[in-house]
Amino acid sequence: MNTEALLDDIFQSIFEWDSLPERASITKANHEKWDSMMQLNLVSALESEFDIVIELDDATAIDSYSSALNTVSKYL
Amino acid sequence: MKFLEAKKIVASLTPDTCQEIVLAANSQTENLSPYLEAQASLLGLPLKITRLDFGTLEQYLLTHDNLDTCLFLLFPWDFCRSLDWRTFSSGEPPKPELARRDAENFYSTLGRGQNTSIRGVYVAAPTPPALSSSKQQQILNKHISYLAANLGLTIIEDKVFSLAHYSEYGTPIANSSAAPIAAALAKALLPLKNQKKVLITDLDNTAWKGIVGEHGIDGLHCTNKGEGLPHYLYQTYLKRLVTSGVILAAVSKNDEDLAKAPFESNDLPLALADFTAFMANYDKKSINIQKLASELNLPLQSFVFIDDNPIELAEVQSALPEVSCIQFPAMNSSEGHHSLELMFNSLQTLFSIEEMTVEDSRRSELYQIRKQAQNSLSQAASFEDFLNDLSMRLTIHDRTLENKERAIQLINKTNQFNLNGRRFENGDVDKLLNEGGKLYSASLQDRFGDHGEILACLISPDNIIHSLVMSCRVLQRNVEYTFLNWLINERTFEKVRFIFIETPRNKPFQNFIYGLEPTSLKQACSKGLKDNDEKHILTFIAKNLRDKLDRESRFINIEP
Repeated sequence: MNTEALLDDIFQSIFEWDSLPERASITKANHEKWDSMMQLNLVSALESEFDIVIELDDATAIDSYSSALNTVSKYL
Repeated sequence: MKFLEAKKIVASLTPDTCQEIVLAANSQTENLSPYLEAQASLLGLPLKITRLDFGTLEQYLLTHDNLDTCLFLLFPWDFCRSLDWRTFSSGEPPKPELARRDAENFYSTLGRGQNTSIRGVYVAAPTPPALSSSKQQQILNKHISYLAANLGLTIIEDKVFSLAHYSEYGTPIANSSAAPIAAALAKALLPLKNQKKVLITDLDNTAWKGIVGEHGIDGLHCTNKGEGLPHYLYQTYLKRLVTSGVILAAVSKNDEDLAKAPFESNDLPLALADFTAFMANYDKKSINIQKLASELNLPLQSFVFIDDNPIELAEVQSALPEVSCIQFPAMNSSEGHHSLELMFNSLQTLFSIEEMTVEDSRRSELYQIRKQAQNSLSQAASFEDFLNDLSMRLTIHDRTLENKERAIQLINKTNQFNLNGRRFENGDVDKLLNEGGKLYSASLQDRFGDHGEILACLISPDNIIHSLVMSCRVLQRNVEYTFLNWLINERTFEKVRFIFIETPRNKPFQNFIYGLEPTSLKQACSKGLKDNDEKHILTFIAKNLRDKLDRESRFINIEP
């Protein structure tokens, strides 16, 4: 499975969406559910699925689908 | 286990069958939840987790009496606040004795002042330099680990703590360690070791690949290569469990002759003789399992059911939520072998076969004897006739000086016919015995065979009965009356004193003791025995019990 497909599954699972919204629209600002706990769950899922350990500064900076993709790519 | 795999397992759970558990921690535990629910489900313990708000554990402990539904995740700073990285400041270091007292107070709160065990994990994480010397700090940390171990918590010393995550999010467990910590927590939920006694297996596509009614014996696969390999490994593992004393039963929606035929061919690791019960019919599987539980007189909590069909598993799980249900994985997917490995891991955890005694390894045979006796009971004219026909012989053993293992094991694993539910370490028993106490056990033989050592009794030097337990295999044989009658004569008791406590699971003992001598008991209860007597000592006048004990003991001969 490529990075984006796995990232799609992670976002869908974390936010419990029936289908994935437009990737560009997936931002912290657009989704009320995306609070600090969701952030934690998201980082935990990214670390588990991609087998990486994300530095705290990078983890807190993730605020959209695209920034998550950039962060993961940086560690892979 | 990875995150999405855990979420997939959690999504397949049926909410109604999930046991509610409070994940009792002072810290944020969100990153553990999916892994914990998934790992517990693999052990046949589907969970619904409630988490406490950050920093509210002590408040919870003060407002809730019952901690049975709690699963604890604790750190050094839960025992002693001065050790918390989040509140650590450069102010005055606490005095070591005050820090130690803090830890002991928290320990008392958790153990409810009675050394009660709790379930969970203690992470021996590094602590900030709160005390004035590193030596004192080390002593305090060791002491806290000791207290945690005493509470029955699993101690984890690996590097699982993340200071960065704890400071930023309040989450002490590093994400990379969330899955293993969740696995340890799930394991801590399992009842006492060796609690699972019965494995019930489906046959078609579980014990072998294929459906015997459709493919015939020749169309089945169960060899050490090819598509039959997972089933061959499974049967080999079941054979090992049977050898170690696990009771094996088959349940299959099949005609009995068809279902038995493959085992008669001698080509399989298992033979018909390995099964204590073989239930091939078209009833619901839950009905068959319930019937077997009654016949064996074992609680459903000690049963594990394995089937490849999720519908059958759901039917049993829904009708008998106490039974641990595990799916035999479909081997046609790429994840099949990984799932097979997970299933074997779960079974190994559920059926821990360490520290077996002779009785354990004979358990299967002993329950087969019991089943034969059950059949005899259904044919006897009356219950008294049945007891008479059994030709029972009870042999009493004084285990005070040697061969104590089986007696202590009985005391520590018996739940139903148990005077008070108390467990004793070997050291505790030795202490009582060195001071002049007595340890007895008893073995029972009848015309169907030898039941082995089935009763144990521990008496303190001041002649108070601290423990009296009996295997549920021999309930309704009047062994308890016969033993008590013998004991009163042997020890020339004028008064018989028991430390009796009602527990949620010792109903059979309650029935026995409440039926002994209602008048004394009524008086004892009216004095508030159950609620107020801290020592829980229940006293009977021996001569008042004489008639009843003589009457109930007449079916069993005592052998020296």
